[in-house]
Formats: sequence, structure tokens, C-alpha cells
Amino acid sequence: MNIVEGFKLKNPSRVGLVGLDSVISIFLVVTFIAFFFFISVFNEGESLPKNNGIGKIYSDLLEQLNSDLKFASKAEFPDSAGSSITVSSNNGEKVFYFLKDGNLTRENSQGKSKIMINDVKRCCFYQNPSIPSLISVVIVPSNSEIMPFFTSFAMRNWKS
Amino acid sequence: MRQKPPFHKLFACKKGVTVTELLLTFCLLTISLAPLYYLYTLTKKPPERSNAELLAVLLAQHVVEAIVASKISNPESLPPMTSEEPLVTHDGDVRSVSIYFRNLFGKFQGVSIEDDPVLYWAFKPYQCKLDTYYLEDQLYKVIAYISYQEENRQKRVYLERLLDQRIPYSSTPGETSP
Repeated sequence: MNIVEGFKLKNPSRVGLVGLDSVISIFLVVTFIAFFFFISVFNEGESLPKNNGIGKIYSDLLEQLNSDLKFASKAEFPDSAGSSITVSSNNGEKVFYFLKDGNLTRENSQGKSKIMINDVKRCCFYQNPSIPSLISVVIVPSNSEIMPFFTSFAMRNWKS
Repeated sequence: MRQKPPFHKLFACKKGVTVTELLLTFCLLTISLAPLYYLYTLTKKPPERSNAELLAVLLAQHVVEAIVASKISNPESLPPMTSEEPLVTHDGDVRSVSIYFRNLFGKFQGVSIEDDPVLYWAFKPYQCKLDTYYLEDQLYKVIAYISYQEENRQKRVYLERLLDQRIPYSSTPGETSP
């Protein structure tokens, strides 16, 4: 018996180790698995670490500070440590932000106050001497696991 | 007149379904689910921002607002384009601190670990880059990029702003000031 005869198949019309049906089956199974693998990877990419619920508080605070400070014409710092600020706008409206008992509170001209964020360890409003129309705000929460809040606002109506 | 076959015989199958046919059906069903899944992801609310991304957005706002404030103080000033720079000094890093974080709280070299360790460690993972473009109609575009690493992936957020590119008036018509 020569080598060629040794590899001869029983059915001479079929050539190869596996049939067409098996190849298609394998292909379909692989497609099926690949699809679900793609979905799992796609979902994994979306599951980023969450922000301990501070995101909503910081977003609200940012929105409020934006509306108060961006259109302000003057900023005063009653406290030398910079933990409070009085912001005046051109229409005579005044807003007062101050830190009391760990709560950063906003008070408007009518005396209506609202706690913007609680459990604050340190709060600082800072006017940059080289760019006086720029007010920077730093808020450090008591919980050290929560990141600090830091950003700045340019007073659009500022006059030197 | 030809009689109709009974209803239960209409779907009578003489030959059984093969595994290949079954798999093909599953595969087609799976593929048809893909657009439905895509539609589902579109209707879902955007994922919540992580702590790192939230701070990056706040830092980008600081850069843009610092540029706007400089423009209010000096209407002719335009911010320069900068490469990626750290927000605080790093050990062994020769790059200087980004100009937008240098004069914070009266510290020329930016926040140091001795002055404010909380802010220092919060700022350390971030880098700031500014791109600028001259546009038509005397407009100048600035894009502030804040890049950081999260889950071993480099990420960045950006804020862009259009500014007036005011040309200084010359004393004589046709003459431009230097």
C-alpha cells in the first residue's frame, strides 16, 4: 500500500477533514459568540467609576456660581481668609456666599438663603491680582475621599 | 374542483431541521438584534461622570474663564498656543507649570505640596494644553484640553471658546500698528 492509498477517503467525492456543513456550523457559532462578546465589552466600557453622588451637587453649584459670578460687576471679600464673598451686579442685585458650620450658603438681597453644599472643610474665594476680573473658587469637602471643587469665573461686567 | 389540503398538513415537514439550519436561524436572529441594541443604547441616559472627569471639566472651565478674564482686562490680548504642561510641579519633570495655573493663590510656581496638599494631589494627574486658531471675521478660537489617566486609559476633556480678534486702530488710514 502506498502513501496515497493510505489517505484515501471512503467517499471519493468528498475531500478534506471536515464537511461543508461543519465549517458553516463553526462559522455561525463563532459569529454568535463574537456578537455577545462585543456586547459585553461595549457594556464594560460604559461602567465607569461613579462619583459618589457628588456630581449632581457640584453641577448645581457650578450652575449657580456661573449665573451669579459671570454677570457680576464687583466682588468684595468681607472675610480676610476669603471664605465669603459678596457679588454685586449692575442692576443692584447682591448675592452673599459664606461658610458657616460646614455649610456653604448662598443668600440673596431679599435675605433668602439656601445651603449649596454641606460638610465643607474649607472654602476659599480668591481674586487673582494679575487678572482682577477672575474669581477662583476652592471647596474642600470634609470627606477626604471626595475630590475638591476648583474652578474660576470671569466677571463679564467687571470695571476697574 | 380541486380540494385544499387540511390546515395541519400545510406545515407538515417531511424532513427534520438540520443543526446548520438551526444555527443559521439563531445567527440571523442575533444579527437582527444588533440594530435593536443600538437603538436601546441611544435611548439610555448618558453615563454619570466620574470624579476625575468632573474635575477635568472644572479645570477646563478655569482655563477658558482665565482667558476670558484676561481679554476683559486687556481686549487686545490673545492667549498663546501651549503644549501639554502639568498643573503642578513634578519631581524630575523639567516642564514648567501651565501658565493658567501659575499665579494661583499668590504662588508663582503654582500650587505646591507644602501650600495646599489637597489641591496638589487633586491637580497632579492632570495636564493642560491650549490650541488656538485664527478664523475669518476677526475671530480667534481657543480650545483648552485637560488630559488625565483613568483605568489605565488616557482620556481628555476640552472646552472651546470663540474670542474677538480685535485689530488695533492705526493713526493714519492704510497704516497698521506693529
